[in-house]
Amino acid sequence: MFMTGAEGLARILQMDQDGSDLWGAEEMQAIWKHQLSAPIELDLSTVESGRSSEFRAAPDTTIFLKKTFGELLEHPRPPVRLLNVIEEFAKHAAKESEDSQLRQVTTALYYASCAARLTRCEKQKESQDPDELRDGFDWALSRLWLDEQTKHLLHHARETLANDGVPRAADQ
Amino acid sequence: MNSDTQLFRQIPQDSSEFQVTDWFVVTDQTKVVQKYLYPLKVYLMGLLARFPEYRGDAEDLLQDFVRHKILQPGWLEKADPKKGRFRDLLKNSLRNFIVGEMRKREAEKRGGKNSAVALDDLEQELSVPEPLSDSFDLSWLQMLLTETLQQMERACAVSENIHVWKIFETRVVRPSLEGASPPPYEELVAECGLQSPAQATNALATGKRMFARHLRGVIAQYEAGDRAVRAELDALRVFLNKLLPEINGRGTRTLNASLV
Repeated sequence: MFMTGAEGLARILQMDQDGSDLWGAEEMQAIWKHQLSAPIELDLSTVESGRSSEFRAAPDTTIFLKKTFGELLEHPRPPVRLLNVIEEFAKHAAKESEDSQLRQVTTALYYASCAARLTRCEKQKESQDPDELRDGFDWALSRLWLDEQTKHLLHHARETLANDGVPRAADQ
Repeated sequence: MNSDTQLFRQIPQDSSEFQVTDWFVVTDQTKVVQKYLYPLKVYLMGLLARFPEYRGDAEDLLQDFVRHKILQPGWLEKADPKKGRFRDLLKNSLRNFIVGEMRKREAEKRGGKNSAVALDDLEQELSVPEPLSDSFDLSWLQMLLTETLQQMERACAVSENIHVWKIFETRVVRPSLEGASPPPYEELVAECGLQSPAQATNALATGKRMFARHLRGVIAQYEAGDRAVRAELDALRVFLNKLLPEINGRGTRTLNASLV
């Protein structure tokens, strides 16, 4: 420290100020990849709603909790209740996080989960406005750090929305 | 730990975890001497740089200053926040003391018809504040940040959040001190055993918050009240910005002097 000049001291002192990004922009891809490889159970344990607790305690669903977010999003028949809890987690994290980069990642996770629900689960009454969902999918698709598989899922969900919520037969 | 961080060990440790503004700490002479000796020494070497015949006396002069000023009962009580910053008091007092000592010694020599420095020039020489003052303020900042990081590391260890320190040290401290690129995200999370971006981001955000809190705590040891602490932080930022025009020109962000 006592050999450190003004430049180094300024860099450390900068950490005292709000607003600076924690990670480099080029690291967003790695952060998203990390999110997809994270165990679902770990992040969902931070959601304290009754629905989350009930779901996490249900024996038929515990097998999914051991999976990663990526595995769930790729699953041909993901449990809709789990996707709902993931959306709850992602919304909560996006709202609560102080870090804008984590907010972006969890928002992308939210729309990826919506996309999986829309395209791979039985059609349910959609509580969200289709236009808002479409805007959300478009926002997520414009993230440069998103992986190709998730982009494909979002594109598919966008088409499903345009098809009045009915997935293409080949994808079912 | 690199050589820079090893130097943390040389700084006397203060056991208080969450500092509040406490003039007792400032007016504790022993602690003041321990904490601020390094900046004073750097400043003194700068003062004496123009007087080669006195350089060899630097250690003695500093000891005299400590003994005849700082350690004198009631002297530190003069550190009235209303009259200015504490570090300015120390700096100005040392300069005045050196001027006085040199005048005295030169007068003695003149009595012996052997004056090495013209007395008229002496005060003028020593009254020039820059860049000598910069060396003092830079050393002061080094001392502040060293103590801040020490306290933070200890707090992380005590609260069993050593991963917070590790991620902050790896991501912020070392790259700042060494100017090296921080390790990639993947490497960092693997090293710290972080399983999700939320964990990693929270750890780094916690590190930043802890750093800010400890920095304010360290400043609060000598500046009284939130307003004075923020003013000191702003003053230090302004000081660094003044030193960094070249760096700012190369793309480093100018430190925002706005209050945090």
